[in-house]
Amino acid sequence: MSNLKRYPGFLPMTIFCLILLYAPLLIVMVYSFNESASITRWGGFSLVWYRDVFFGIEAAKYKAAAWNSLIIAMSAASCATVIATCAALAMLRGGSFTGKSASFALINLPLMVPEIVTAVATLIFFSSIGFQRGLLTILVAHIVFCIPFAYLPIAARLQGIEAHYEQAAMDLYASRWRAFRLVLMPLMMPGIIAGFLLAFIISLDDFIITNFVKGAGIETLPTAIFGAVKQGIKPDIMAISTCMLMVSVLFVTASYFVNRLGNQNN
Amino acid sequence: MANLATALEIVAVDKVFGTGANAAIALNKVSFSVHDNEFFTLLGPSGCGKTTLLRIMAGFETVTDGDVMLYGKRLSDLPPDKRPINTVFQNYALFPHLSVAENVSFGLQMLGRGKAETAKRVADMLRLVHLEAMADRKPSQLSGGQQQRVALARALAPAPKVLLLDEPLSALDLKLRQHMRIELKQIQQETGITFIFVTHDQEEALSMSDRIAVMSAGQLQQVGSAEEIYEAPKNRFVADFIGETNLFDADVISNNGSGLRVRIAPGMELEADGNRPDKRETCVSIRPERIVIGTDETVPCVVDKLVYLGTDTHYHVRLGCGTLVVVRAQNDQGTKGRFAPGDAASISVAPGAAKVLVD
Ligand SMILES: Nc1ncnc2c1ncn2[C@@H]1O[C@H](COP(=O)(O)OP(=O)(O)OP(=O)(O)O)[C@@H](O)[C@H]1O
Ligand SMILES: [Mg+2]
Repeated sequence: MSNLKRYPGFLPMTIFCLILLYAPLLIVMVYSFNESASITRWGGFSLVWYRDVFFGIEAAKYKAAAWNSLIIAMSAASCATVIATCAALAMLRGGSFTGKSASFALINLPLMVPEIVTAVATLIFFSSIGFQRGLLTILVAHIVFCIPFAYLPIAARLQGIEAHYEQAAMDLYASRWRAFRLVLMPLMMPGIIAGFLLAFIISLDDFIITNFVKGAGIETLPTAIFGAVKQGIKPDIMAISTCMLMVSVLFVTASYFVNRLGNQNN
Repeated sequence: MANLATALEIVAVDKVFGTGANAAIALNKVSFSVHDNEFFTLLGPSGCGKTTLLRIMAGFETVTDGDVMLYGKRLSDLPPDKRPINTVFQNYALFPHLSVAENVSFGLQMLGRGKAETAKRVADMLRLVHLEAMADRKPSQLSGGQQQRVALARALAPAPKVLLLDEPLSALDLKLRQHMRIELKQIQQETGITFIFVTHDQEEALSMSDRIAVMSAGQLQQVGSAEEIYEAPKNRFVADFIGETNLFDADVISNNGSGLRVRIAPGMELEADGNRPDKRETCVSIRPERIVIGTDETVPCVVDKLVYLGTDTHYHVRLGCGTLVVVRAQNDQGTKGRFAPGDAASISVAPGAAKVLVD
């Protein structure tokens, strides 16, 4: 690896990629603290846009959208994690059953289907069964597309746990359920938490599907931001974006530490 | 010592993995019984079905045919958690998220034993395996030998009727293994629990067991005490697998009822224990240490090779007809240094040393 540095053009290439990846983010973060209303000219440091977001005239709208996003992300991630855990147990501990490979494909298919297709299909589905669009439709749609994201880290973790542990528990008079509760689940926990966090971030961040299935007047943060941007980019959008970025960073960091803790324990 | 009440009985157990063209027979009509309070060993080469049989006893595998009985009660329909049998797993399978004490108390808690009783039992078990000081450690903070003891304590804590041990010593180094042999045997005698011990190491089996069941390719070959298995092997496989031996294809000369007079090589006739009615030829086994090498010209031979083993030396000698015979002599008996490759010598077989085998 150390030899890589000797290749001609390595340094400029690296810098170019880093700029491409992070400069826009950096600009958004920096300009969210801009005193002036311009999005290109620096007018000194200030928290005025944050005050605007939290206490300004549109604060109520953003607050409602933020609450919706949090509630949906929390519930969708929780449901998806439970379902994904059951799916992983069935796939990896259920022995062989008919339709096993089909089930595996079905669990992971949402990762491959273009999101816009899922969005349109979900919308048509809800309309055709006469389901009133609103918070509930968003939640159902989010649970569905969060399942594969929760499934991946959970299944990866479970795959690394030998069947001997549950067998040892049952050998020591634990019922199937207690063997799961007292032995397998604690061992799976890092994977379950990682799956939950990933699903949470994916849900928090989703725009396309949400925009299709949300009812009129109901907004999540991404749709609220999109709505606001359509009327011109104001610095308070940058403040909201920076807040969301911080939440994501927090969750990714948390999932990293959970994983490390889990690896240490074994 | 074991008394002769039957604890566990294996009745004509068949086990077939897979179906149709993929079917693999892991166990073929295996039957034996294990006595109450016995140290019983399943011995056989890798892949002969030892683990499969143990998993059937523990309830992790179902039989294709046959039955497993515990004190006269059918076990076949009981799930693992309903069988008063505990297992020491080959890789220990200690719960990594629980401390040593929590591991040992797991079975007692599942059985709903009281707090005080559990604590006392855990302390007793940890004392039994000399790990009192390690109670609060996690399994990952223990050496292999210590983990092995925790696995033993955990399996013994609920006082099972039968303890199953699947090659529990195979991951330990030689010195520790030899030490644990003695300790395991001692623990078995102290606790009075029936042990069923699996190994592919014949020395381990001979040194610990009250009785040994020798298996090969899914079939039971012989059940008996260490002496019986070693001194009176039933067939070619057992004679060859346990210790070292010389196998001869011999001609039967006469039959005197309790033994046969056989010719194992031209000019070398002797009495062999055992009987094979109506056979003109038979296989005969003679252990290397029951043959004496000398120079008295009884059966002349030529020394082919010496293998020095520390306490003993193996003399590979060739008879006049070309048959190779291995002789084992202790290095303090005056034979040491008397023979070199190419020397002329002679061999004589101790009375009662030759055994007639079923092929
Ligand atoms: N789940 C299974 N599916 C198919 N075949 C199996 C299965 N388990 C064991 N076998 C086969 O059954 C035979 C006996 O295996 P088993 O594990 O009982 O051997 P063993 O005597 O314990 O060997 P070792 O000393 O190597 O542990 C082997 O041929 C093995 O390939
Ligand atoms: Mg095995």
